[in-house]
This record gives sequence, C-alpha cells and structure tokens, in this order.
Amino acid sequence: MVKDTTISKKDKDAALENQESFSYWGKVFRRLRRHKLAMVSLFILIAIILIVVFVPMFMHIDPDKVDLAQALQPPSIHHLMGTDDNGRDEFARLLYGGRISLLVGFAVTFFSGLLGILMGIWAGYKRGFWDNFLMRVDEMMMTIPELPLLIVAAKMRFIPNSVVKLIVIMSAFGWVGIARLIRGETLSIREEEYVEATKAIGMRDRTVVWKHLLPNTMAVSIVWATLRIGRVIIAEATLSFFGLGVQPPTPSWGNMLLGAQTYIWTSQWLVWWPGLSILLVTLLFNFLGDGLRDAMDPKMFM
Amino acid sequence: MRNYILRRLLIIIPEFIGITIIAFFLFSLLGDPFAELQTNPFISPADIAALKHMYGFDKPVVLRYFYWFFSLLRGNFGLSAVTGEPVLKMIGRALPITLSINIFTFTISLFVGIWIGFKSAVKQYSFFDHFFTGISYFGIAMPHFWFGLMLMILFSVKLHLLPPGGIMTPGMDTAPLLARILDRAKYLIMPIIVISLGSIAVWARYTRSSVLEMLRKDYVRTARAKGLKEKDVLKKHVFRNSLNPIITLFFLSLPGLLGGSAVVEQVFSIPGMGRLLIQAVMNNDYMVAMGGIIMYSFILLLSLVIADVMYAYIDPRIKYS
Repeated sequence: MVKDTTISKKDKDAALENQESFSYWGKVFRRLRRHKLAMVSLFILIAIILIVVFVPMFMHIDPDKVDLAQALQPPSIHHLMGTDDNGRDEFARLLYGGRISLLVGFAVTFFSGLLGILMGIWAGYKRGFWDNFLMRVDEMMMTIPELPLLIVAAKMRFIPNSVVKLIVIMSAFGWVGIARLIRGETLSIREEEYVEATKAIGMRDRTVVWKHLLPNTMAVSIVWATLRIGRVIIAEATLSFFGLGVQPPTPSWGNMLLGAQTYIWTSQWLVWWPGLSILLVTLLFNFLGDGLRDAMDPKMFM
Repeated sequence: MRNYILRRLLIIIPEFIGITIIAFFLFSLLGDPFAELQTNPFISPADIAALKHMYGFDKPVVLRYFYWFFSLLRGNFGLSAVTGEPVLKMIGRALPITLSINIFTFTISLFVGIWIGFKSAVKQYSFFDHFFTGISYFGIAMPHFWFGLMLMILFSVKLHLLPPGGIMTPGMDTAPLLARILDRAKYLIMPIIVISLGSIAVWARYTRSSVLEMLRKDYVRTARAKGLKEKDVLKKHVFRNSLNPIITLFFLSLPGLLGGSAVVEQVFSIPGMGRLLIQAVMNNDYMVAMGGIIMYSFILLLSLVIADVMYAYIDPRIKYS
C-alpha cells in the first residue's frame, strides 16, 4: 500500500526490481535489504561472529585458567561476567564457548546440508532404487526418537576429539530432513522442459546436476540452512547439558550450563550468559531465515 | 477404503521389524553392560559369568536379537540390567507421571495455540499478531532446559514459591487426595509452563499459516461476495478447512504424550518416561532403553496410520489408492 503520493526511494527500488536487468540473486538481495528485521539480524550476527573470533585474540584471559581462590565470584570489574566453580573467567569462557558452539552450528549445517542436498537431488533425479532407499531410511529415522539415538552415538568412543565427534554424529543424523525437501524440489524441476532438453542434447547426468538441479534448489537450501543453524546450536547445548557433547575443559555454551544447575542457589549469573547467548543467536538466525524465505519467494510482494 | 486401511496396517509389520533391528544392533554397538563390574575387585569372574548367563549375554548377538524379538512379541520386555526389575514395571511406574504432565500440556497448548494462531491470522499484522508471533519466536528459539533453569531461579530461588524439582513432598503419600493433588501441582507447574510454551508456539505458527492460506482462497471471496456474515465465513469456510494440516500434526504429536520431554524431566528431576529412557541409555541398560524406544516407535507408527486414514476421511479430494 502506498500512502505517499511522492515517489519514495522504496517505490524506485520496487520499480527497478521489476526490470529484467537484475539477476535472480540481485533481486533477492534487494528484497532482503528492505526486510528490516532480517537485515538487523544479519548485522548483529556478523558482529557476534567477529567478536567471538577476534576479541579473544587481543584479550589475554585464559578461559581454562583454574583459580580456586576466585571461584564463584559475582560479576565485577575484574571478571565482567563473574567466575565459575573453578574460578575460571566466565566472560572469556563465553567467548571461547561461542567459537565452539558457532563452529559446531556452521559445520554440522554445512556437512549435513551437503550430504542431504546431494542425496536428495540424486534420489529425485534418478528415482528407482536410491529414491526408495532414501524414503525408507527417512521414515525409520522419523519414528525413532532422536535424542536417545544421538546419546548412543555420542557414547561410542570412535573419535577422541569431542568437538569433531559431535560434528560427525550430528551431520550423520541431520541430513534426512533436507534430503526429503530437496528430493521434492527435484521431482518438480526434472519435469521442466529445460531438463528434458538437456536429455535431448545428450548432456551427462553430472552436468545436469551441477548446472541445473543444484542452482535451482539453492534457494530452498539456503533458507533451510539458516533456520537449521539455530536448531543445531540448541541440540549441541542439549547434548552438552547431558554431559555428552563437547567435553570440558573446552567450553561450549551448552557445557557451561552443565555445571550451572548445581549453583543456581548462589551463582545465578552462570545460568544467564550462556543461555542468553544461545537464545539470541538462535533468534537472530530464525529472523534472518524467515526474511530470506520471503525474499526468495517470487510470489511474495514486499 | 477398507483395502486402503488394511494395506496401511500391513505396512506396519515390516516397519516395526526394521525398527527393532535398528534399535537392537545400535545398542549392541554400545558394548558390554557388565564391563564396569570386571574392574570391581569384590566381584569374582565366576559371578560375572553367571550374571552374563542369566541375562543371555554369553550368546552371539544375532541369536540374542531373535530371543529378544520373540519374547517381545509375547509381551515380555525383559529385565533391567541395573536394578533387575522387569522393564514393563519400570515403564508402568514412569508412564503415569509423564502422562499426567503431557495430557495437561497437550490439551492446553492445542487449544491456546490454535486460538492464538487463528486470531493472529484473521488480524494479520495487528498488535495481537505481532505480539504472539514475537512470543512464538522465543518459544522456538529458547532451549528448554535453560528456560527451566530460569523459571527455577525466579520461582524457587528468588520468590521461594515452588519447589525446584522432584515430584512429591516427603510424607505426602498418605495425605488425603485433594492435598496430594495440590502437592503434585506445585511440583509440576514449572515443567508444564516450559513444555507448553514450546508447543503453543508450534501450534500457533502452523494454524496461522494454514488460516492465512485459506483466507486467500477464491471460495472465501465467493462466500463474502454472496453476503455471508464475516463470522460465518470465518467459522464455516476458513476455520474448518484450515484444520486439515493441523489434524495431521495432531496425530504426529500424539506419541509425544508417552515420550515425555527428557530434557525437562532431567532438569526438574521428574522420574518420567523421558528420564527413564535417557538414564537407561546412559547406564547401558539395554532392555529398558530398547523397550522404551520400541514402545514409542510402535505407537508413532500406529498414529501415522491413523493420521493417514483420518486425512483421507476429512479431505474428500484424497483418493485411497
């Protein structure tokens, strides 16, 4: 609805966007830029990532330094967010823990996404055995509750490094949903005439996948990935909360909460910060994901 | 229709067998539940061997699977390796606790969620809509266990109103019924709030998008054009039709009634199904863990069938082929 009679910048943008001179991604970017909540979320997320990556480099506080004389100190000038039960600086642990939590979030989303997208495309494009196999596995995964499965996997001792192990496990169980989504997309794309044309000119399957199927399912994948990262971070925190995720002394937002429940009567600050960080990051990723979904949907007019 | 239901029911059998196979071999990968006993100097190797024999752990894994599977069919879920109790008895103790929480939260979140979703779709972009959309974002982004801890800090630590965990005040088991119910309620308020917030958010989001989609349909415009009262349009045309996807979700979430939120039960130390299952997995207590998972998955399979059949009843466009 246009309330102003003068031509505003917004209208100009909208008019420009309708010209064919922009590529699909150019249009998406323009539409996203007008989605205020998503843009603000994007900037805050970038800021958070920069902070957890770079600030520890200049800070010179050791997150693993145990100082029992300083245990359970409330927030003060010396310890911005207080100290935990081992006298470790909570602020430093929060930053280092953020690195781990975000790393796990991005890595799991990337690997499970890659696996799921390729399997989904292949199943949808080739049909037949792969398709059947994928759908059966998908149904079984749906009926078995996820948390016990993850815990069983986390208990096996096949990789010594707990962060790497967590990434492997969660990627191995995380591809099912996106594979189903991408399979559905591929099923409709493969009926398009241009895909038929690739067969007529004798294009190889691999080329069809890379040149047509992958780019055309990209929009769905990106939205999925953005919404997924938050879920992965929560799942990591949940596993770590049960003591099965990232193993101390390496901090993560989840395992920082592991010890916190013991001290809720005296030291509530130990509960606040890691939880608030998880909440904030998940919330921002959800806002961004919803904004992206609107920007990428050609039916939506913003 | 009858053929469709029959065929749908028959598919359960191979799927059920598949789940038992996955569950069994996954747990057999975990290793020997008696491994810890071997390091205990007070237990002789002969005793361990006797224990292994008693539980059947001296036989190869494939044989164990068949033995377990057939006793499962006879309704025998085996014994817990930790306490020696029958698995069914442990489930029988945990299930009523989980059910008492879940039936309550499920009903509340169903009605409140659908009501909020419907209202916010009808008044799209109003204050009501923005307010509850905001809350549902929080409900989805909030880690359950952290929300539980925060409530605990507020109500137990700061206000001293509610007990921080557990299920019953000691000595209350002989009190009159009403007092017992009130006592139980005191312990369950916080877990119920935590679980409800998340599921109200999900119901509201689903309902909102479903109703919004219906509002754009041509027949809704027709109904308005022929002069129907807005109330009737919303009630008879929009609301009824937007229920279809919600009914599927309803049956998909039914098994959750038995499952129990492991995380919430852990935080509030409630001895329910979720906690039973998680503790069993942690302690390598195969029989309990497998029994719990099998029961849950079987009920989920059944509900999927019911959802499919109900869907075919409700939506006449679906052909049962």
